[in-house]
Amino acid sequence: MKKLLLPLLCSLPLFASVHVTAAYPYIGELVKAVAHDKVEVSILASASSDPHFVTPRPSYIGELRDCDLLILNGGGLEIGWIPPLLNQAHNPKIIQGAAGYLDLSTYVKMIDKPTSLSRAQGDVHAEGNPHYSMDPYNIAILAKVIMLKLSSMDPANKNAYHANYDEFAKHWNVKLVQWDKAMTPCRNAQVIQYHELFSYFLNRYGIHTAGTIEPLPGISPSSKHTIEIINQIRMDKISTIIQDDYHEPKTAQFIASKSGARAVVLAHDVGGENNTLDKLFDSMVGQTCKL
Amino acid sequence: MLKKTVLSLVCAGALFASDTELEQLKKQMVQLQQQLSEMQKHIQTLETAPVITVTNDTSSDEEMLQKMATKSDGGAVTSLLPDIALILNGGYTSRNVSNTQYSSAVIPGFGTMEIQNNSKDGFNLNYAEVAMSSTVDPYFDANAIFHIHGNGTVEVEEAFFATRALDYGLRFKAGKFKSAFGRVNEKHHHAWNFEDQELINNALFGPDGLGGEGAQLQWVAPIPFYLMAGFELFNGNPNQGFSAKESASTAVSYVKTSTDIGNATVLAGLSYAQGKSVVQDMNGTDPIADSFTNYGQTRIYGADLTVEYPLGGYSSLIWQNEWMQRNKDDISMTDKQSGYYSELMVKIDENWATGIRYDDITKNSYYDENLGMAVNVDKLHRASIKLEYKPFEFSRFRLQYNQDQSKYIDNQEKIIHEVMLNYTLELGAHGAHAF
Repeated sequence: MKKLLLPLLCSLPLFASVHVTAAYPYIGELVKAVAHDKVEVSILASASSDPHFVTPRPSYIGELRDCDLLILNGGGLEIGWIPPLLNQAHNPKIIQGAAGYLDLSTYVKMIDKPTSLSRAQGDVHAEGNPHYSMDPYNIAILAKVIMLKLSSMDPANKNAYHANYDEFAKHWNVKLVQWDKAMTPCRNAQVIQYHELFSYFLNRYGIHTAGTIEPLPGISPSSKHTIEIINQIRMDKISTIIQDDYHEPKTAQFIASKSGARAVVLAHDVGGENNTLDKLFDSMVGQTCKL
Repeated sequence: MLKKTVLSLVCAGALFASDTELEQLKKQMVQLQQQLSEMQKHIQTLETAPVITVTNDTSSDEEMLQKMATKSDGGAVTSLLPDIALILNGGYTSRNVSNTQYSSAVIPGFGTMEIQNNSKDGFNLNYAEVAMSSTVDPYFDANAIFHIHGNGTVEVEEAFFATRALDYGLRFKAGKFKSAFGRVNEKHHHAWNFEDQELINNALFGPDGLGGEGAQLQWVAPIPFYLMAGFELFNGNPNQGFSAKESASTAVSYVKTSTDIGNATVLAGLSYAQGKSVVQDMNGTDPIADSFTNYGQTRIYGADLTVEYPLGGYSSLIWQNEWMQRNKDDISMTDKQSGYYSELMVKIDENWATGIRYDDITKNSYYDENLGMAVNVDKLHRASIKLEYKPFEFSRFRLQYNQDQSKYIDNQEKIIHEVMLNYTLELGAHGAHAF
């Protein structure tokens, strides 16, 4: 009997002492980069949906019930779906304030913090623009935060986490130099965005967001505002419209056809064709800065 | 002569020489200019290019670790005030029956219904809901939800506390709250799929649903998929079909599970409620128990199934169904009443949604006190259609039409047609809704 049980027990992932749940795919990628096979990681949201409006599927409760560490983007991005899930998961290890609740937004500098808060301004976040992961320079910081967190939760594998992080950071720095070089010709360019989703990326490379297709954050395009944008593109000779992959693409295409600007669709998270962080930023850089 | 020749030669030579030198100079000048402009360009890029270091990473490992240790994660705690939200609901209603007739309408076998929302033909302010919620301390969360109705009455919809940090997947809740029996019972009016309550819920539990002052224990199983079991105890409430004889005589239990099949989310549940029923109250003194009152049992069984299928972007298809049966001991018989609803909803995009609903009471055999005999009135049903427009996340307009064949007015079956146009506005900090 014992002989039968032993291989069964050994086949269980006993070596993965920390079970991590990542709110978004890019966080999951970072955990994998830092931990390799030392932790078990599950990812909740998919790359194809609006990160603000993820369906709080009850199956996510099953994931959260038993995890040791929940890593969030934070900055109010998950406010529409994580709180009810946490409330139903009954897991004291990952509630806000516990050691297993990691809000990455507290470790980066947020931009566009509103000076006054009113929903007359649309869906504004008190904490600032929460899409900070679009700046590739922030990615390195996030990897480090995750490395330190895992090291403190699982000291036995501390050395592995450090070594993996060093390897990742080295690789990432090479990529940063590449992207800096590729983006240099587009410095001081002007673009139109659908939502202020890529602001951190654009800011990083000195590209100015001249306007957004949505009149206010979270408000669907109006014909009046669309015409204003078309006129603005014509007057200021703006060449590029940046669109995310979950909003309807028709308005951007219409504006492009009327104004002569180029409409590009950018992925905002790891998934599909862009199944690694490298590919995600490679495609962002390649699509945005086309000369 | 010679001098002149030499001179002119020299001059010519000099001229010639100066010509070539000039060209060289010019060339050099152009080269220099080119170099200069290149250098300027270089300077410009150097000036504006980002410094190749992780610029935001000003904190050291130790500082980051310290930040983690202080447990300050969770962002800005700007105040210790609870989250406060105000939800307004009202609209315009039009019916083919008068207000008096409508308020006297009954669902046979279930008695007169209390109408809370859209009760009048014309304008209605249904309620201003004040919801407050906060974490009390490391151990408890608390919520309170009040409805201030258009007629000035204030109702405590819910007021409860729940544990935050119990082990073994447990959570305990106590206060006044809505039972998690079935699929929709726990949800507040503004989170309903249609403007009015599902017929079988309304018939069995009344407009506030099953719940009240009580306690709840829920457990999430430590398995890789979602399985939740719950147990609740409430005071018996006559408005919900139970007797108030014994203080805490209504018990509810349920189990819910969910799985993702491909892109689709499936949520299913089984529920059971049991309490006392008044079989015969000769003195009409319930809840005061005396020798003239006979009590029996009320048992309610429920099953629900919800499927949500995402269609890409903001679009999705939701199919929601619920069935219930009540077996209630009555004079010389057990009333057996059951019914179901089925709803199909389409979220078209961020702003638009539509849906249809069919309510049916399929079995309705009960003891009629006036006739002094058992009767069976089971052809009770209602069909609804809705169209929703959400200008923004926090505002919603809903147009709904009902063809209601579930009501009797003056002992006569009466088909009620009703059209409702309602607004729901959410202000302030209102927590997100569960699936």
